[in-house]
Amino acid sequence: MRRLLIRDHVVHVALAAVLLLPLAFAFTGPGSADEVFGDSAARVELFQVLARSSWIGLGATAVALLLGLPAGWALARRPRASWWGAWCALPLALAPSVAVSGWLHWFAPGYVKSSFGQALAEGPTWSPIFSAPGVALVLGLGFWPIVAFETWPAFRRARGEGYEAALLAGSPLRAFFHVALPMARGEWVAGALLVFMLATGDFTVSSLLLVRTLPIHVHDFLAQGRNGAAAWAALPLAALIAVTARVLLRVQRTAAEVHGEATADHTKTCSSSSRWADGMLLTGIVLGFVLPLGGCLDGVLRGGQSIRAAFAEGWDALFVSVRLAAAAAIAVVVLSALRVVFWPEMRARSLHAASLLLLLIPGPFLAAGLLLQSVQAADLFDHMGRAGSWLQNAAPAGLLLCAGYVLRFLYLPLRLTDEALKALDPALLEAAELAGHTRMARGLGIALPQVWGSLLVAAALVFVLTLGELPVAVKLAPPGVLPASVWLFSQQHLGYTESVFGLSLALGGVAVAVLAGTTALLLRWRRASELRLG
Amino acid sequence: MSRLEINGLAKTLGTGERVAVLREVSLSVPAGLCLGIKGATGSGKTTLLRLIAGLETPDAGEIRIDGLVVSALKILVPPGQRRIGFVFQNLGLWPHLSVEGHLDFVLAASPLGGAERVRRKRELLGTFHLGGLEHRRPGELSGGERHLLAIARAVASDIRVLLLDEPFEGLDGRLRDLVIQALGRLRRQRGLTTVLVSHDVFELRALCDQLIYLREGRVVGTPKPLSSAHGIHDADARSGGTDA
Repeated sequence: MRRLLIRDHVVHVALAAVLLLPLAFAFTGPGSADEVFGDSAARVELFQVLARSSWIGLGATAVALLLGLPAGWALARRPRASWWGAWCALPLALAPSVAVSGWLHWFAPGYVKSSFGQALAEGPTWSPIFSAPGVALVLGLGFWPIVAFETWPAFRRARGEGYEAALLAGSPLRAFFHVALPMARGEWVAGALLVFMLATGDFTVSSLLLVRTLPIHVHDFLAQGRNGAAAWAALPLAALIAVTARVLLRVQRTAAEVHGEATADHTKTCSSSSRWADGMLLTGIVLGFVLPLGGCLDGVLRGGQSIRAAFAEGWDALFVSVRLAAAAAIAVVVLSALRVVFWPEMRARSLHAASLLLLLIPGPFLAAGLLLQSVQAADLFDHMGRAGSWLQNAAPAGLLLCAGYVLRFLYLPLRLTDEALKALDPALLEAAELAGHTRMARGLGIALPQVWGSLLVAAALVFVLTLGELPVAVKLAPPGVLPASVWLFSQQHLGYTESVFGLSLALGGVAVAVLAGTTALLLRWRRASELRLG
Repeated sequence: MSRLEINGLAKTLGTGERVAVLREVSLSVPAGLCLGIKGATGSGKTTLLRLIAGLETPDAGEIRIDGLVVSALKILVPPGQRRIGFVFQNLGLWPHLSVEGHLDFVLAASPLGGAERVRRKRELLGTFHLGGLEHRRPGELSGGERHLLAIARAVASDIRVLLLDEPFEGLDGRLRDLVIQALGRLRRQRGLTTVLVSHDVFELRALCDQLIYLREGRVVGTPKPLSSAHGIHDADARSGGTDA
């Protein structure tokens, strides 16, 4: 049964437009297209930074595919909720600036020990990591779990009798490349596109490794107050992202159609071991998480300060970030729950597309748009008199920043709840509909209890990603509110002290704790269900 | 008691290459009687039930219950307002709700009063041998008990038409006899107009008054009274039905 009402689609499109409103506001600031496209030097510079961003995107995608495909294959032998899934998420959960701290500790110790100004004066001769390939490598090592998670369900389906038949006719690697990989083509292409766009729009790693990319070009315009020019500068990247996002959504949709709407795994899975894939999965975790975090730990231990002192300096910033991340996680869960309750039987494609764009657009661009929108809202409140000033005073200090985080990461809960709803047996909702229950009652009574696990995972992911988010935080943090990522970023520009490594380590520790806690909760729930089944 | 009439019903499914699942299906089920439907896999049996329930919209034709059009090209009475009970082929039980929770959830949407709901729930638990299992969830029930729960849920509220999509599959012989007897009693008591899709001759004979065959989305011949001299097997052979 899919009697989709046109009215619901209109509501979705309207909500998507509201979500994208900040991007339109980004064009309203001072500065014009002439500053970006006016003279040939400006055009050449724009082309250079766009090309560099694209190369970084391609390089990161290659690294992510190299590690993510075997990892997805290794995960496919394991249940959906397992410790392996949590460990696999660790490189993604590690804040980019933390990863940079760790890598620089290992590969550019000279740079780490010098102050930023001194290092700059000496020139970029410290290490090959300060290059576009270096940025691509660091990003690829952080983003490979995206490919693994995208391909996981498809590989589970592929590990059926067809793969077993191929195993009888050749080696596991041959069976993987000739049977499993083509069967999961839609999914790994989707993962690759997602990584490409995230890496192309990266600001944090490029900035810390001193590689000038388009997001930094945009950020520089914003720093000069030339918001309009920044928006125009971001336009080529935004267009590239919009086109790739369109392709991505199309690929995801085609993959769902090929394999049927239900993503629940009903197929028999092959239990044959794939040591090479397990090995690549472990390599990915070591390179993407253990080594960078190990670098931070080494940085703390080898520092002159006591360990307590190393952690003490960034403690307040970490506490601020944890509170903001918790608020963002709660907000996205509430929004996703509302989506489930209002539209339990409907895909939210417009919202999906809008939130994907917000995830992929360069962070400074989104932040500038939100800031300009809030300035206009403040002007409006001023005209409203006492009621307006009451509203302004009532808003908490970090509200705008929290809204920025929510917009940035809304794609994750929407995607996860959509996947969970797709996996639901339609008869569950139809039976409730036949009993006369309204759509909201069906959403609240039947759909929501079935997708809470996905909401929990989404909350955990949003929490850890918010902790490390920089471009939005650096622009939207109100006076007196200093999130950990901003504190870390500014300290990293002054020098890599024990405090920098201490906070990096603490951020990594929080990410591990949150992912481990969430997995433990999910596994406990699953075990309780299995016990009830006897 | 409600009469069910279907005239010229057609339905195609699929997103790319559309397949005609039902073509010009017309039939009538007199009030309080049970119509059995037999047919090969893919002949459109389940789609026909889903159209009657309002879970799918027809491409052509109309469905009437008690003379009122409930489905037509531009008319669709919502499923919840049709007063139809449906036992799905894969049951569609709610994994997070207990046996009692299932019945409560359905009864909560019915116009029955509080005392009447309690009485109805107790009656259903007794009729379908679910007494003592009230607090168990579907995952904690045996296969047979799940079927019983699905049927109890379907008839919990004041329905007019009962649709059964191979509801006895997986039940052992003794339990199946018990459920068929209970369903037969309930049908007679409430005068439920029933449509049963089944491959099993015994089930069709035990519950149905008439039988039709669907082949490639069309009704073959006219409804056969199951009490007539022609046996099901004879009729099956004439229709060329090849049950999967």
